Amino acid sequence: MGSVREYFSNIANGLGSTVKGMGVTLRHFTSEPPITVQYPRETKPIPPTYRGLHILEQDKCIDCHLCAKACPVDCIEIEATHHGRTLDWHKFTIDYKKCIFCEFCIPPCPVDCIHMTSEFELATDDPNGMVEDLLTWTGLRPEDQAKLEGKAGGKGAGAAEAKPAAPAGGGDVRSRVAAMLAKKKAEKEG
Amino acid sequence: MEALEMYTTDDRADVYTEELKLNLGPQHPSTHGVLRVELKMDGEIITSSRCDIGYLHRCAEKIGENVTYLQFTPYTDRMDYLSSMNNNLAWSLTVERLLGVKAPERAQWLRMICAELNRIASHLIAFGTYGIDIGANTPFFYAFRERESIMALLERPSGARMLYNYIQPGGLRRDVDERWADDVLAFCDEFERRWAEYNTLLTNNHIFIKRTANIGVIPQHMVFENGATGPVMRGSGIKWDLRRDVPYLEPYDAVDFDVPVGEGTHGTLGDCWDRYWVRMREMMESVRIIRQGCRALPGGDVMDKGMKRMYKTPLKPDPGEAYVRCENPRGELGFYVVSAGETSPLRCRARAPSFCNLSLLDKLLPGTMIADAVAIIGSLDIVLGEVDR
Amino acid sequence: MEPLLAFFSEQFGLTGVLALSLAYAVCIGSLLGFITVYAMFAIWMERKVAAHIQVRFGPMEVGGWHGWAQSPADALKLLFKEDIIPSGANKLLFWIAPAVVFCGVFAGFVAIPFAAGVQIADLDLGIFFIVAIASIEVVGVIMAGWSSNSKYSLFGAVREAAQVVSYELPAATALLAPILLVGSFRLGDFNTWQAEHGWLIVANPFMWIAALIYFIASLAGCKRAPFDLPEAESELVSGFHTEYSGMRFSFFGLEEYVSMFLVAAVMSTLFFGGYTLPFNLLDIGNLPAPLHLLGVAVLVVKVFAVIFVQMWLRWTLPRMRVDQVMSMGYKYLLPWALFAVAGTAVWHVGMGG
Repeated sequence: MGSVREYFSNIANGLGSTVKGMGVTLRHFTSEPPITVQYPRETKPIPPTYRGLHILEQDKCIDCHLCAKACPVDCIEIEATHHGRTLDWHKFTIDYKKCIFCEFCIPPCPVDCIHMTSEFELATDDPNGMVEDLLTWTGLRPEDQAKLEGKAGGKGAGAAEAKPAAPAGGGDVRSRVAAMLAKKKAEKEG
Repeated sequence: MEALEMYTTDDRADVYTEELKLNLGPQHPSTHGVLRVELKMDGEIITSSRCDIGYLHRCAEKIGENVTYLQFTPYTDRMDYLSSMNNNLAWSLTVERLLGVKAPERAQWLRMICAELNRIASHLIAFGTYGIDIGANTPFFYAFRERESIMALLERPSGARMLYNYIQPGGLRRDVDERWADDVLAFCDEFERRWAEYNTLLTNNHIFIKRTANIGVIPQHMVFENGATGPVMRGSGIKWDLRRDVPYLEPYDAVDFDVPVGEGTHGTLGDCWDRYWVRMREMMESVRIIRQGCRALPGGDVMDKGMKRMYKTPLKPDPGEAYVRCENPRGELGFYVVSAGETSPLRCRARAPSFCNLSLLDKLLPGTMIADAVAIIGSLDIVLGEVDR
Repeated sequence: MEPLLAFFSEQFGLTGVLALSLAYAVCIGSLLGFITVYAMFAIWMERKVAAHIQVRFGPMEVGGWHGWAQSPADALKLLFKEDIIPSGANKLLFWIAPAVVFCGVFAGFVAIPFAAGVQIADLDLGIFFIVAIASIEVVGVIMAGWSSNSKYSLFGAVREAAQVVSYELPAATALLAPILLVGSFRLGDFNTWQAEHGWLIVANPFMWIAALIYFIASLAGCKRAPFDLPEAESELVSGFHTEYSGMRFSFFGLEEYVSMFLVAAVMSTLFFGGYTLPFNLLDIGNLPAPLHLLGVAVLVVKVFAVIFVQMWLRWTLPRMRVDQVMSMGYKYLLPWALFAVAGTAVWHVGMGG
């Protein structure tokens, strides 16, 4: 008789659990809003501590190579000639084909001149374009610029604003950065 | 086993049958990574199976002999990429033991909270992908909704969404922001609500129970013979959890939590459903731990003062060796490090839980059907990054 | 069909074979057009229903408003795909398998009344014909699995054959309950009976069992979850249609949605009143032309309600294993279907009906 009871309990459990499960999915269908963020029209807020593309404050850098030594995958290449206290820069590149975005290059810097920004849109169809020359651009978004100038604060800053930020301007990273650099230069001179 | 009795082969001499050789993987939606299982089958029943691993071998341990102790931390992230906080923790504790230092108190509590958050995230993937393996595509999306919240929470202190590189020898990379603990508590409340829904949708679903109960039964002696740990071991009724029995972080001693074990609720003790249910309950226990952790979070520094110089000058521990094991979501992760007094280790070996759990597969599959094979692989919850390193 | 023939003979003076072939061409052409448009809509609906159950959006890009043009775009893409035939494949069987599968299901539509008199063929054996002809798809599936020359496909075909054939039994048996009451196989009679006596599903408590059993059995016949073993993605890649690409593959997808419509139409006609309104609010069957075409709208609404429930179930439930599917069909559905039929008979004799 146990199998008879098992037979009917199978029916009851089968129907019951199905109906309950259908209740959960119906609730999601009718009242749960979709959580998809329609990238690239919308973006999620990115915290200020995000480990994205690097920027270099070229004027501060003293060519000590501590960041290059700290890198686990040896993706930073630096070359400069010293003339007393000034530097003639030849090369400061990060090979993003190798970079693992671990952030070990940031803490060793004695003059705090290398930073990681929130820029992450790196996709390109030119593999040679993945070696970024940090001397000619400093990948900046407005919030990264502000962080650099000490407005948003350093470590331990509060959570990023809830307002989703669209990628500043159109085009790729380099043209955005060139525009920001030009603006910065104009502000310095003007 | 039930399957064998139902499907004994027809030994008629006039019917010529051949054994079917089937490859499950390496490209397969359900092998949880690049795993190849060579199956020999008699119709739908598997007669023998052989696991072929190594498709994801990246020479991590050899690389470890050529980088510094600190530089190896991101490599540990990428072994079991779903529980990278836990991997970082195991490695950091090993290096700390080698050096004879200890992380400050606040760092230890935050380490515990981050490790438990990552445990929930990892078990959510196990839950979601197990649903897909069994055929229910919806719980996966719900699991990822919760995982999104966790990743956003862990992104704030560490700067990355999955490969955190946050728990480092000596403490943590940086402190959390002021509102972090409150947001974590808010997440815990939200998660409890959702957990109940997962059970209604998948755990107690009759079809799911019929597909997973009495399948892939691992008797207790098999657990010990094959070195299986984690939910695989606890699903067979063995109550052993390193967080409780060999607390590797002091806060684990200070908080209250249970260690869920399988009870053979819907079938034999140690079947797939038991392992799955152990993972579900472990998520709730992690919520308990996190809540207590956030409320008892002490102040102070998050990085040992003496260790702060390690970013500029590589660590050079005295010659010696250390082995530390931690309770990862998948089982017991152990790092064995030998130092010869140089900046790079002489040997750094990872005892990966998925590797040992996977060795059970060749013993579990024979006698089952292909649909059950998928259920069994899913219940072992392996990550090939860890198996192959 | 008859009104069309009459129309041709009155307006154009056509009779005989010419009128008949023209009438058939018009009917089948319009049905094919309707089915194709419906299938595209159903695929879009499935993706949207699945997405909203899974808290995401589904197609949003193609066509602007919620990606309504996604299905035509996919169909166009499939048309342009390279037609790959595996080297060891049995070319003839590989070629005709999708056709057999689709035609078997499509042929069932000739007997469905979309509105009063709007029917391609008013068959005496309506429902019997539909059940019989829809099972021709099994032959097509076995052809597809065998001719693909692939172990995975063969697995899928064998499982599918066992499953569909087994579930024909409870499906047809469950349908016997309403047939018993109405006393005829002709589908038009179901509509007129339900217009007079109310929907068949509420005629007696056993009808609920019969309807539920028919619904579940027809899910298995359409190879929908929880019975989608033949297409179990996480195990056998794509089952019996693994080796198909391009337009041939789309025939199998089309067949799934078309059989969903067929099954839902049968269920709506037999249990939920067909093209008549509940409580016969508006006597659609007897409205003057062309108002009687409102019946099409009524039937389509009911069909889509059933299809929505089918989709809802697919995204809720896990997949059953093949032996569990077999045991459910024979040990659970078939006995209860017989019970429902017997119960219906006893009830109505007892109630003096």
